[in-house]
Amino acid sequence: MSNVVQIENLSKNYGQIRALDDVILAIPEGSIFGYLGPNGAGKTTTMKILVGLLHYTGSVKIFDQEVRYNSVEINKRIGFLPDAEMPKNDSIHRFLSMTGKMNEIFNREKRIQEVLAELGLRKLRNRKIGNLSRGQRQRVGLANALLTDPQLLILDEPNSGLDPVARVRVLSLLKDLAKDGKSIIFSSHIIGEVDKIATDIAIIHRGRIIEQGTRKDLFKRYLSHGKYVLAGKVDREKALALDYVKSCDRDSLGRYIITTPGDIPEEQLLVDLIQKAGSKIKYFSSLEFSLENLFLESINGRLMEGEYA
Amino acid sequence: MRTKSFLYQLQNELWNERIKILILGFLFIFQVLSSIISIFYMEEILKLFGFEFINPAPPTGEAAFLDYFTDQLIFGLLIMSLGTMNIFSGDIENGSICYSLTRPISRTNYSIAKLVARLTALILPFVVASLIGWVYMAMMFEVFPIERLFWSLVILVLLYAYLGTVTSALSTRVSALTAGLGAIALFIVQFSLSAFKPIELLSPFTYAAIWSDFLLGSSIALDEIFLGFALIGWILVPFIISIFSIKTRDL
Repeated sequence: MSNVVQIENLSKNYGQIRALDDVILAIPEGSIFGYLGPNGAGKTTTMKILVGLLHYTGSVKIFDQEVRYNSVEINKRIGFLPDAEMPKNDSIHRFLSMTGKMNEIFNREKRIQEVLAELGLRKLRNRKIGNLSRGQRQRVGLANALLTDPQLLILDEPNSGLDPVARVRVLSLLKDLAKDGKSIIFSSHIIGEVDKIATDIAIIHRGRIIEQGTRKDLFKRYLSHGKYVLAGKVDREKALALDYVKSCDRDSLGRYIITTPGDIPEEQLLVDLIQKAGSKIKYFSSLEFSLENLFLESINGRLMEGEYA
Repeated sequence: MRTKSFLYQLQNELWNERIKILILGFLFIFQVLSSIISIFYMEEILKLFGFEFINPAPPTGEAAFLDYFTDQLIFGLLIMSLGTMNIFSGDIENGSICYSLTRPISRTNYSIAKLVARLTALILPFVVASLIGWVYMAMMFEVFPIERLFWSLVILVLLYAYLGTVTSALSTRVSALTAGLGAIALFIVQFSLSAFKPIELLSPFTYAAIWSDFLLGSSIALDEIFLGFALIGWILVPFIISIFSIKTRDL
């Protein structure tokens, strides 16, 4: 399968701040690519670079064309939902109509009606964007991104501000679009949502990609070592001195994540050994694979004081 | 395709400016008519309220009309600065530029469409109001020098365009308030410069003065008239800077 997006050595500075640092990403065609990261990690910056809104160093190719030189051409095949305000004085219909005209959509009116119906906005078509709720505005943004029936959708926090029903509808819509062969890149703060629909995932932290791969790859990599979570008072130094303990780190929830070289013969043995080594364990369990655990562990130890995932 | 997307953008921007055009139109028409009416009918108005009006010079409609144009220099400075200070910064600050520029339009075409639409919105009402004032004059005096009306309009339109493009250029990089205040400060400095030789050449108001000499009927040399055309250069510089600035900045 070829890659719809190919990013190599992408860096971006805002003055002295390094927003992206040597990012390498490959996004396969037809995939639903979940882009995860804490606030300020570089997700929006990456997305804005993809649509040509930011200048950059390195190489960013979409449909095998360098974004730096071809963004106008590339944007004809992209639907983008930015995390930004829309023109408040435009009506929904006028706003979509403008996108339709610029993209020279055949049978524009029909297409507008289709996307409005798809996103439950038909009755609001003549309402001014400035008079809509946040969730309704978000749906208008999505309608705008879908209007041109693009090959690639880039969605920055598509579910932000949506009520639970609309969230489920949007996620199901994205799945359907992927089934039709569209490629989708979306960022989210809600790990559960990424977990539900993403086929490929990347985790970015402080401008660097720290995990990337298909869900299957990440699962395999994650379970190559035994992983256990424990809570209590742990003497980290003494625990690390044990043969069965490869690493012992606190995650951003304050739990200890213990990695063993392989599966241990009995979990109780590990508990006993750690307790003998001066720790008081209140809770112990093997760590199941979940995107949330992967995310928390990936950024484990990388969060600065006062910074939240 | 490129021309089409430019025209759609221009059409959209002009539509967005429609309220501004209407309000400014009424404002300018009110101003031109109030200048004329106050000179012509002041005596009767004051008499109505029991005041005595002493006017040593007999009022003329032409004087009222020239008064109107002179007032426009200060009025225009405010209108153009306030009217263009958020032309780019507004869209950049609230992020709506992201929607515009991810449609298939180049940054150059987007900037030109915005500049042309906003300048038209601010200048067109002034031109229309001046023509209405002229028609009113022509009706009262029967004869009115259309040539002088034309040139006075050209001068002020060029000056307005200069004031607007300078503020727009600033608005591509700084907030609306900073752009507006910065532009007004720059115009005041440039206006002051026009009083000193030889640095007067650094001020577009100097070139405008050459034109206004012509407007007032002074005899000026032909080469000075051509020098007046340098005002167009003064507009082009901030116009190009605005486009270049949007083209090169992160959004």
